[in-house]
Amino acid sequence: MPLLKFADANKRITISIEIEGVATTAILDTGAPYSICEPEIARELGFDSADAIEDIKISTWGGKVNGSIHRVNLSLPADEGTSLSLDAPVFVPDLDQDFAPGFPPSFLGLIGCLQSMRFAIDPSSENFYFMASPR
Amino acid sequence: MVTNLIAPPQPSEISIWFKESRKYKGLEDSSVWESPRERMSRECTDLLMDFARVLDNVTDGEGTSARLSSERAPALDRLEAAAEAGDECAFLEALESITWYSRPPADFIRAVRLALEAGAHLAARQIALEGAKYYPEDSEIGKYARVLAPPRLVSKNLQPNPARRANREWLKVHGGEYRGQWVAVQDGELRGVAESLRQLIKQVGSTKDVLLTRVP
Repeated sequence: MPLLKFADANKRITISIEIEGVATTAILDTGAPYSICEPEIARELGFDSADAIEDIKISTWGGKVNGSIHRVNLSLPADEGTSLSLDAPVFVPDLDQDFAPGFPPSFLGLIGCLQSMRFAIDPSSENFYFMASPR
Repeated sequence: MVTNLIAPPQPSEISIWFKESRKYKGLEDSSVWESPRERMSRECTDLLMDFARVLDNVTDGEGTSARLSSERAPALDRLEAAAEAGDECAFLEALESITWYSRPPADFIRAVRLALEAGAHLAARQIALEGAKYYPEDSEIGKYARVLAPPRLVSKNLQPNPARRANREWLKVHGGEYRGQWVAVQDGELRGVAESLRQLIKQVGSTKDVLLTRVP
């Protein structure tokens, strides 16, 4: 199965991804409904608002957050084996909210992303294994 | 001999059947496997729903379009109250009481937005997909359905990119020195540091094969 090494010394499950072809990192969060794209990345990439649901509030563990949901190209570049590329929804929080410094980072969530693949996590070897769901 | 014959539901059963069908679909992904019998049953229900809408037009004095206009539905108010409270269970319960086939596209859109606010994310997707099915000509509900649809696999045969490993190793070893800042790393070497991504991109120019991330 293709694998990716974690990219975080603090043992958070942070992996390399590409959003619309731009390489960055994201934290895996199987409890998050949506993938979250860091708002600064969304702003610099200039997501198309014609293919977005804008001015919405979504409910998160941290409370309600304002933002928009965009359909983007999301890739998981494997270190070994074959990489995956998805057309997936991501939530982009509005920048003008009172976030803690450095928050929110990018997250890969379940409904919008991980549900389309089979995956396994090995914390001891810091590997994330993934493949397209056969369904 | 005809086997697997399914008796069509009586008009009074239509709403119940539809709701049960929605409840079932709400638990699973839209791509859930259907047996031929289930599929026939669903298609039969859809046909009857269309027929019921036509009947509404004929029998309702003012016609469906008048009835579907902007009148504020109490059922949607319940959705709104649940969304404001962030109560997903109350939202799903209120959702069960709504007969969707007679709702205008604006109600579907409103319900999708409220579902997201309530944390009922799968329900949001299902409402959008259902709305697009009933109003295929409505571009706005079509957009909602498209954006919220399950992720679609574009490619699963891309080549691996082992060069990324060096960037990740750099982050693990040196990331702590740049907490809260944006860094650009290429081939395992730091290319730039900045307070914002915009400043960082100005520094490095091309972003091809460059890892851009804010160190948490």
